[in-house]
Amino acid sequence: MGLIEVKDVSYSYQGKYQTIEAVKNVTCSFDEGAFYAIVGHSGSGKTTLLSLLAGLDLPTSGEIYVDGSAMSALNRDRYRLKTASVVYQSFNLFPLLTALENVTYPMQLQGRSKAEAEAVAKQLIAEVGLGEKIWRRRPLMMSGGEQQRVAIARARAAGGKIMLADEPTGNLDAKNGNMITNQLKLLAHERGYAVIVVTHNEELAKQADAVYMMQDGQLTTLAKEGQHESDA
Amino acid sequence: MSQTRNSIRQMLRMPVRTALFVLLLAVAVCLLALGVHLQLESQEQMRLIEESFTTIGTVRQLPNSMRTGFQWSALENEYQFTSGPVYDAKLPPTVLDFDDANYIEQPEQRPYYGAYHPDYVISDREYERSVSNERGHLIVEFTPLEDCVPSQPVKIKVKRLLLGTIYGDLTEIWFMAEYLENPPEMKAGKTYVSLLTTRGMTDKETGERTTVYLPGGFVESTQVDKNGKKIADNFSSENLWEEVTEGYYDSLQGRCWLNLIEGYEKFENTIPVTPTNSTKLLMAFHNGGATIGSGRDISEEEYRLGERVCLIPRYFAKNNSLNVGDTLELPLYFANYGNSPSQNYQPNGWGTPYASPLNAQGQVYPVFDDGSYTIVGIYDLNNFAYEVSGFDMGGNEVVIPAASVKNSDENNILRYAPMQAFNTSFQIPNGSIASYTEAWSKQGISNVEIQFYDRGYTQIKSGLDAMKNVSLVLVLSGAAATLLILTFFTYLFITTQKKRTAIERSLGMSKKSCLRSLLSGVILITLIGCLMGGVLGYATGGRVRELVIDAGQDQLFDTTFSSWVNNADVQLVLDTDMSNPDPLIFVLVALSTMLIAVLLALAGIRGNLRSEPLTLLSSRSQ
Ligand SMILES: Nc1ncnc2c1ncn2[C@@H]1O[C@H](COP(=O)(O)OP(=O)(O)O)[C@@H](O)[C@H]1O
Ligand SMILES: [Mg+2]
Repeated sequence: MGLIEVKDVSYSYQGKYQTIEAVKNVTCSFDEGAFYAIVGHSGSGKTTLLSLLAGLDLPTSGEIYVDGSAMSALNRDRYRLKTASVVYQSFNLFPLLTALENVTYPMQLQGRSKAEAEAVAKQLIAEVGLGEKIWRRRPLMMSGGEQQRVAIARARAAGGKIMLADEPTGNLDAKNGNMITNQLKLLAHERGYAVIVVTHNEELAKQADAVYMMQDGQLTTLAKEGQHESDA
Repeated sequence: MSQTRNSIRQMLRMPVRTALFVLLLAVAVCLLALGVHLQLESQEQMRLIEESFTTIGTVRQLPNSMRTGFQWSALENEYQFTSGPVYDAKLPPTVLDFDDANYIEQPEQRPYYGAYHPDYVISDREYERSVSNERGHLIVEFTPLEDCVPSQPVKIKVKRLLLGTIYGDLTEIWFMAEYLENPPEMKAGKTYVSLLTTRGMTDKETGERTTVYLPGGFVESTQVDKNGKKIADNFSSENLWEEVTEGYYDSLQGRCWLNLIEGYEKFENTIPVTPTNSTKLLMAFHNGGATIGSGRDISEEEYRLGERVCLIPRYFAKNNSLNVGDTLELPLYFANYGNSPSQNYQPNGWGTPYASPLNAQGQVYPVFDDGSYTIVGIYDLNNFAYEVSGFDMGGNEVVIPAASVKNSDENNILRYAPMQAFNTSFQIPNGSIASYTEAWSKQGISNVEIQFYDRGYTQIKSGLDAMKNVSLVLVLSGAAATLLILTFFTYLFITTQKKRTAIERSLGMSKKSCLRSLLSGVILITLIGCLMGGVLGYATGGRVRELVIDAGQDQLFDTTFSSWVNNADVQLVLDTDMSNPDPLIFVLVALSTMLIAVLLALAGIRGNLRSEPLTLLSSRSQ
C-alpha cells in the first residue's frame, strides 16, 4: 500500500464548446522514499495529473488516497499546506519577496514564529547549497538554478513528505538541471520524500526509481529493466 | 497577520507604484469630496436663500401728462411755477390679472386708514415738551389792527384761538394772504376766522426774523368715491378767511368751521393703519427697513381669515405701554389712497393727511369699522430716509390684515391717487422676474410701471448656480478620476498579481486567505489615499468655496438693495457656514471611495482565484 494511491482517476476540462478528457482511468501508486518520473508528450495530461496529486482539484471520477484518506474527504488547502509541495518549471517565487522571505512564507502560514521560521529557512537554503548572500536577494537578482533551489527549499519548508515537481529542469541548463535532479533524488532517498517529477529530461528520468509514461491521458509503467541496466 | 504583513511588504516593494497610487487617489478623492461638498453647500445655500428671499413687484400708474400752472406768492412777490400729474383714467390693480401671471401674493393697492382714539399717546411726551414749536393746525378768530389789504404783511390781533397753540404775544402778529395776488380788504373792528399756517420771514433791511401767519386752508371737503371722483358738496368755499358775525357758527359755513376744528384735533391724534394681505408686500419689511423685534409676524392663516391682529411699531408700543398680547382699539374713520403713511406721519408720530377732515356732508368722517386688535408683533425700524420716498413705515403705523376690516371704506375716502409704488405691490416666485416681465410686456399696457425688488436674489442665484456648476464639474471629474485610478490600480495591484495568488494557492493558502492577503494591502493603501484626499479636501474646502463665491462677489451683492441689513445677514449666513465645512461629507466620500475600491478589488481577486493555479504556474510565460 503506497503513500499515494491513485484509483481509476479520470479528469476532464469542461470547456464552453467541448470537453477535454485530459486524464483517463489512471491507476498507480507512489511510495515514501522513492523518486518517480512521469514522461510524455506535451498535452498528454502530465500537469493535470500532478495538479490532481497536489489537490488543486478533484478527479471527475475515481479517487486519490493519501495515507489512506480519500482526497475528496480532505481539506485540500490544508493538504497542500502541510503535506504536499509543488515545484514548477518557472520557479514561481514571490517576485517581490527575498529568498529568505520566500522560504519562511509557508512556515509563517503555519503560524510559526518569525525567528524560528528564519532559522529553519536558513538551514534549508544551506541544504540546497546556497550561501548567506542569497538571503536578501529577490528572484530577479538570482540565476535560474538559484531560483529553483530556493523553490525547493520553500517546498521543503512546509515539512510535508510529498514533493511534486512539474518540469523543474525545463528552464535550466544541463549543469543546473543535474544539480536539481540530484537534490530531488536525495530528498527521496535520504529524507524519505515521495518525489514525483514530471519531466522531459532523460537524465532525470534515468535517475528515477520508477518511470511512468503519460500518453493521451493514460498512464503506463515503463520497463524497470532498462533502468537497472543503466544503473549498473 | 503574517499574510497582511507580507501583503503590505510586497506593496512597499513597489514604492513608486504605491506612492503614485496613494497620491493620485488622494487628489481624486479630494476633488470628489470638494465637489460633493460644494454641491451640498450650494443646495443648502439655495434653500436658505429661497426661504429668506422674496421677490416683490411695485406698481405705479404713469401720468398721461403733466398739469402746469402759476400761483401767486405774496412772500416771494411773484408767480411761482406749479405742476402736477394728470391721469386720463385711474387703472385698478386688476389690470395686472393676466394669463401667465404667477403670483404668490396678488397685486394689492393699499390705502392707509386713520384710526382715532382719545387714549392714544401719539408721540413721546418728553420730546413734545422739549420742542417749543407750534404743532399742526391753527384756527383763529382775529381782527386787523387797521383797515388793510393783506398783500403785504399786516398786523392782526388774535381774538380767539380756536385750535392749536401760539407762543408769544397774541395781540399783535403778522398776517399776509400768501396765495392771493389781489386779496380782499379787511376792516379793523371786524372779526374773521381763518386756518393759519406759519412761515419764518427775514426782514430785508434789519435782518430780523419774524413769524408770519398765512391763511392756509378753506372750508371744504376732499371726499372722493371709490373711483377717485370728487363728491359734490354744498359748503366748500374758496375764501381763505370768513367774516364772523353774530350767529355765524349756526350757519352751514359756521358749523363747518366748528367741524373743521374737531376734525383737525382728531387728525393730530390719529395713527395710520395699513391693511395688507402680507407683511412681505410692505417694502419697508421687504427691504429690511422694518423687522419684527418682539412677538411674531401676522400668520398667513390670520391674513387669510382676517383675524383682528396687528403689528405695531416699538415707538408706539413704548409710548402707550403696549406689549405683545395686549389689545389695541382701532376705530377706523378715513381712508387715504393718495399717500403712504410715511409721507404723512413723521417718525415722532406727528402729521396729518394732506386733505380736509370733512366729508361731503361737512362732517368729520364717522368711524366705518371698529375692532379690538390683538398685538402679535412689535416691529423695529432699522433705517429711515429710504431712497424711494414712501417706502418707509410712517410714524405710529399699525399693520393689520386687510380682510380684518369688515366694512367698506368707500364712503370715507379723503384722498385718492392711482396706483403708486409705495401702495401697490405683489409677490412672485423668486427667479421669475424675467418670465413675468416678458408676459407683462405682451399685455401692451404702457402707462403702468413695474419695478422689482428681490434683494439681489437673481444675482446671488446666478452666483450660486456658478458654484453649483463648478461643483458638478468637480463631482463628475472627481468621480471619473477616482474610478479610473481605482480601476487602473486594481489592475496593477491585483490582476497582474494573478501569479502571486496562484503561488499562495499552491502553498496551501485557502481562497479566503488569498483574498484577505491581497485585500488587506489594497485596503490599507486605499485608506491612506482616501484619508489624505478627505483631509486635503476638508482643509481646502472653505477656501475653495470662498474663491468661488469671491469670484462672483462683486456682482453678487452690488445692487441697491443688497447693502441693507437683511442682505448683510444673508451674507453672514453664507460666511459662517463657509468657514467650517461639514467633516462628515469628507468622511463619507472617503468611505464610499473605499467601498468602491474594495468592491473593485474583490472583483479583481475573484478573477484571480478563478484561474487554475497549476496551469498558470506551469506555463512558460514568466
Ligand atoms: N485549464 C484547461 N482548460 C482546458 N483544457 C486544458 C486545460 N489545461 C490543460 N488542458 C488540456 O488538457 C490536456 C492535458 O494538458 P496538460 O495536463 O497540461 O498536459 P501536459 O502537462 O502533459 O502538457 C491538453 O489537451 C490540454 O490542452
Ligand atoms: Mg505540462
